[in-house]
Amino acid sequence: MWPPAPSLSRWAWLGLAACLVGGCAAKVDPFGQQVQRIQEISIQGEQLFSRGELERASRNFNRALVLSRSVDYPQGAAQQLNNLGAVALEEEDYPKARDLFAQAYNLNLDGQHWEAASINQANLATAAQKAGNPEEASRRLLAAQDAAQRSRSSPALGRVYLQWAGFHLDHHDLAAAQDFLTRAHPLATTPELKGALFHHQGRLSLARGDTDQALARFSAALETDRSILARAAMAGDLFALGEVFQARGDPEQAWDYYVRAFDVYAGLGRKSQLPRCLKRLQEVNRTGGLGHSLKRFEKLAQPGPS
Amino acid sequence: MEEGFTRKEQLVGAFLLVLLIFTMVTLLVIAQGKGWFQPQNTYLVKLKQGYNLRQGSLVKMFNAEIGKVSAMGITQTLGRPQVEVTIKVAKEYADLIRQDSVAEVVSPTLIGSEYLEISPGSSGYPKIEPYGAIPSRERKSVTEYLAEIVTQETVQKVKLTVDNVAQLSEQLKNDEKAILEAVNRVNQVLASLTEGRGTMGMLLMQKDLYARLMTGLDHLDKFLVEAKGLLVDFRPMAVDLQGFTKAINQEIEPLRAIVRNIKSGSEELPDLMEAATDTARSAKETMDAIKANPLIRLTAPKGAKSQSIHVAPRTLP
Repeated sequence: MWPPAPSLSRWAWLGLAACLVGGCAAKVDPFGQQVQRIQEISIQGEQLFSRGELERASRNFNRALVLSRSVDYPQGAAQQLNNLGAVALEEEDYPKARDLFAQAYNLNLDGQHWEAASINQANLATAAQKAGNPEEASRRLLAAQDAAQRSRSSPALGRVYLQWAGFHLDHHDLAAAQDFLTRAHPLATTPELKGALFHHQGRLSLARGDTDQALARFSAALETDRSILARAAMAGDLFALGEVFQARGDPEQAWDYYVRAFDVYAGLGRKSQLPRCLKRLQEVNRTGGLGHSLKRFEKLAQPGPS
Repeated sequence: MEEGFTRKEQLVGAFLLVLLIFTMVTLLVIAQGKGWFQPQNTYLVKLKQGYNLRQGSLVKMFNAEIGKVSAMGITQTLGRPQVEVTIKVAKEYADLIRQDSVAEVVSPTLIGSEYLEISPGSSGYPKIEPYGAIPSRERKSVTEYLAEIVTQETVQKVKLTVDNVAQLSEQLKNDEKAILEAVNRVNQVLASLTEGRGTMGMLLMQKDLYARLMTGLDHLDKFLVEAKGLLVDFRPMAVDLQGFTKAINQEIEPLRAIVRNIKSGSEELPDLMEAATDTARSAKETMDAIKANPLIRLTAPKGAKSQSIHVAPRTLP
């Protein structure tokens, strides 16, 4: 018969020896520690960024940038420059955003960090798109696609394809959008990309007048984005759901989703989105004869310091 | 037969002995107080006269007593009689009596008697040895002071002033006609004023102006009465304000205490922060070391990975 006690003891000794060996194997790595510290600061900044606390996020990214430069860590510096560019983009300071993304891209190009370079180009495309320059956006997206292909990273390529789909949807080129969504589908392996895929699929369906499909896709997008607490994306999904219900002639449901979108945008401090939501709320309130009070929304949507 | 003192005799003897000792001690204390045992230096001061100084008169320096006059006498020096004052100065001040010291008799303003003031000598001059003569300065008499004032020059100046006054009087006599004319003119002006002629006359003599002035004064009176009433209304408000200020002051006191506490706490804060940072750092290092262990690394949850942020257009305004 197998004696359990001695065997357990033997396993315990073996485990202890492994721990000892592991402990001995651990060596002091000052540079690694510093890089870890930079990443911790950057992660904190990313969390603040996702909560809409742009000023504090910017402070963290700046600190991480200084630290990266002080230990000669170009990859980290490029990452922080990109993140600072993202902050500038959120603040609608497009020239500054463009400058920071370009600096990050040059550093990544020198180090041949293609995946990060692809993100930089995709962000440059976003900045160009928001600045009302579709030609430059298109050019940047091509560069992003090239960098993503060089990186051999599926999520990187999926990200670019999804951005292409969004670009074509903005320009009402539904066939091209469909093509890129089909190409992005197998590559969207992360929750972030899945959320974007569902959202764009919903937009495509809504553009085609298929509100059932749009409702299903936006609901799936909302669920996915909520799982990773992508608040800005969630607000976009909620607003889109409001549009779907408005298109279906259900003002009560549309009102609910617009209110939820309004509250998430308000929580994020996205003042510029509030008038858009308020306009939709006024529309559904009037057309549906809902008789809801708009005082709270009007007060929050007023321009001025937050 | 037993010889010696009886008990009574012994008691009386002891009593007398105690009395003797007590007297001796008292004398010693008094002598100490009077400075009888204090070492003193004797100096001589020669003056033209005694200026009411007498034996026991004080000797002062910086208006503080440093000794006394011990004797006075008249001596003949170079055929001239002089008053020789012998003074005793405490030895501790002997260093201050030097060749450039000057002794002078000072009279009191109202109360007290004359004393001898000695000015302190400079360190560059040699000390005056005991029984040496201290240079003296004679006190000036009233006639001497008068003689100083009434000099030839002063008399000349007074004479000149009297001459000037006489000259002025002569000139006035010559200009009598012009002065009379001026006085007549002034009379004429005054007459015009009383008749109410000219701007000044109208201002002074017209009743209308007077009436307007009176009306103005009436208005002013009314205004002052109203102001008085307002002041009465203000008084309770001022009292309330005082109470309010007091209440604020009372409220501020705990706030001050809080601020003081915060201030004292904040002084310790950097140390606390440093200690906390050190502790956190060492704890983190320990945790890192634990995480580095392969067995733990395998089972530990994967932390978030820092990455470049991709800003999708759908998330933007």
